[in-house]
Amino acid sequence: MMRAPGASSPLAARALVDPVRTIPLVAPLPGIPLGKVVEVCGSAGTAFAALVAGRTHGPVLWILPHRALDHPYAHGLSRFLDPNRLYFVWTSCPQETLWATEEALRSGGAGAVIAELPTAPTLTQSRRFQLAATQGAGASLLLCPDHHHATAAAMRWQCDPVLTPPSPIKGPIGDDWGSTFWGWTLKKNKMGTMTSPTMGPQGGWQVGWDAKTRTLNLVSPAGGRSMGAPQGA
Amino acid sequence: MRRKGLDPAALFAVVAEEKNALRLISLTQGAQAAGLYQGMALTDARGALPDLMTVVHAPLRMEEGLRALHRWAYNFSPWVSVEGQDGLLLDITGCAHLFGGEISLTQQIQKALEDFGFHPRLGVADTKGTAHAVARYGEQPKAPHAPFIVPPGKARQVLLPLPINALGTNERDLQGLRRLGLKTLGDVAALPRADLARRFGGDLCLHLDEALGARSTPVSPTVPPRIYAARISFPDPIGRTEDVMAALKLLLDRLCGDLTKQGRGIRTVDLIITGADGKDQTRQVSMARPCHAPQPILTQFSPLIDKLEAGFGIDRLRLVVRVHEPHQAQQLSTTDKGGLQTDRLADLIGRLGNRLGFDRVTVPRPQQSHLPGFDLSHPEAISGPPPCPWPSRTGPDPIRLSRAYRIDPLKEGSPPQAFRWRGRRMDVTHAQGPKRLSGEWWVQDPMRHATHDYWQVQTAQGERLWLACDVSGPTRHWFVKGQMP
Repeated sequence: MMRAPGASSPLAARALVDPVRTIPLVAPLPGIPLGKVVEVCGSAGTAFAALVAGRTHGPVLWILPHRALDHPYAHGLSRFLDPNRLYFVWTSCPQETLWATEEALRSGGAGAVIAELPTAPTLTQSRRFQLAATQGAGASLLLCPDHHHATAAAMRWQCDPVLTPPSPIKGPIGDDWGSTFWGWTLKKNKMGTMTSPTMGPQGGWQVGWDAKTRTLNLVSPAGGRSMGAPQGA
Repeated sequence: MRRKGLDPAALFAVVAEEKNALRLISLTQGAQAAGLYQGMALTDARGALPDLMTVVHAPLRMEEGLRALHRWAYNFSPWVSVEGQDGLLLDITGCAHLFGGEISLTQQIQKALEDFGFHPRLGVADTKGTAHAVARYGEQPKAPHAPFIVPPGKARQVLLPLPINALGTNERDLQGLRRLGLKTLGDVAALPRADLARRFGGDLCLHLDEALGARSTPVSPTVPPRIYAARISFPDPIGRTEDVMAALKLLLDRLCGDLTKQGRGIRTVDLIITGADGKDQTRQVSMARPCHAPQPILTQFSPLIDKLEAGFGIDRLRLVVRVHEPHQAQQLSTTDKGGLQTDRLADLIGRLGNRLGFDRVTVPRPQQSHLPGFDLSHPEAISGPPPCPWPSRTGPDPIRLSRAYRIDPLKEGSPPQAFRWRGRRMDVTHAQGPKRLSGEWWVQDPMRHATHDYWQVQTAQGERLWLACDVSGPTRHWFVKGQMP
């Protein structure tokens, strides 16, 4: 069968009518796509995942190993999302974690699924996650150790805490620390053509989080001046 | 009524703890003949009869037995109620002639109960109160299979010599009557009613009227709990997974049909598998919400059936609903995404819980405590704990909480200026604290008694950690208790 000249390929047509919905983070950073597996590495990954989950709707399913050294703390997470939305799934071995994650991603019952994996997923595992996430179409975040091998994930974020200068006004004990700084590096982005062509500056973005106003802002690595929106004509 | 399953002449008794001692609460005729009595302390009984056999009273089993008898009693009357812990009340109005008259009916009941291994006491009378009195306190006729039947209108004559316990009133009134020297119903009935009512209240007069047949109260039938169960037996033992699933589907279709008619849904269901060797295996499946469609339940069963050991084959399958709840039908809507998500989440919780265990799928809820880690409870998600308001917290909380990870300071200080954490050296640039949380001495848990100082530290490496220092002991030990966001 001949295709009419000028007709785009079915895949491109689908991309046009069905663009990937994303959760915006902050101005120049690409958003987190829904229904795509996103790997989050680094020790500030919990905060990143909580931040993203806080911007979705519906229940948040957190799959975590029962015997891990540390667990997310619901009172701390309440700065990022309503803790009444949280569901914890405690697994006792890596196989259970993988199975539970795949089931949770596939069901579509949760607005966000966050899985803490003890090791980075292999290509097969992440491919299965990706297929399941496509069905579920929620935010799908894997908290895993940093790695360099190929996976089917759409994005890989490296999130580290960054030295935050103390607030100039020293409040009473128990007072907030003011802004919290993180370094976010986008190490892989399959969605580049759709959202932002850039992978960000070398060394990533420095992001500040204001817990009082619950806002993210971009700070220049030198500190002080905000990059804000890109300067244009 | 006593369940024995052994010779009535044997020396046997059921014991239970009463008034701070193990006492006999039920004994065989043989034991009674040997001089034992109800309410006797077990130690005394043992002294008198060293070879007395006893068994501890099991109220639950007794209740189960009574429930079974209750269902059985519907053979004789459609109007049956459970009376107390050990009685059944049948309204045989219009039923007796079906069994050849009252005498024949009671004989049939007595014979059947004796075949079951009971020694029943039966009484037939005009009213509920009279029947209760003659069955429990009447002098039973000596001849076998001759029940106590009060002729119509003769209740007063029969009852007057009975002890006052037959009134069925409370213990306080009985004590009072005994103190007055009244022993039989006749004594009580002979007193002027006005005096009786003034001394004991109207309640006693009511009971007296009921017992003597002057007032009739209807039998209100106890509704037997509805049991949803289905079973299938095979002509030959089966062993293939597909066969078991097909049989299970048949059972579920039948069960779900029943449940749908009653508007109820399955929460927990047991599958009892009887093998060719006669051994039973049970597999349980729970659902996160009431369900009366066979397919979701079948899906939950399928991994369990895969792992089933069939052995020499399976002879019989029985499906029993353990927990069922009203099923609320919901209007499906194309625009309401929230409802669809709730349904999917319930399915997911059921699937995860049936494989991992329902205690592994939890929701966090705040709990009364000011110590980190103890201020959260984790109820099971399947029990559906309602969302609750979370307390507003002063000061930042850690985003992750660790098991106390002991650190050895590389550079001393309070908090330590440098230490090693997860294989990395951490240099503290600034710290905030201490925030002292004293132990909760009023709880039993010794883990909650220690007093700790908490510090938030910012390290040159970027990590923001939450340090704790145990100040209750003579030496200071430092721990990493969590990570700040």
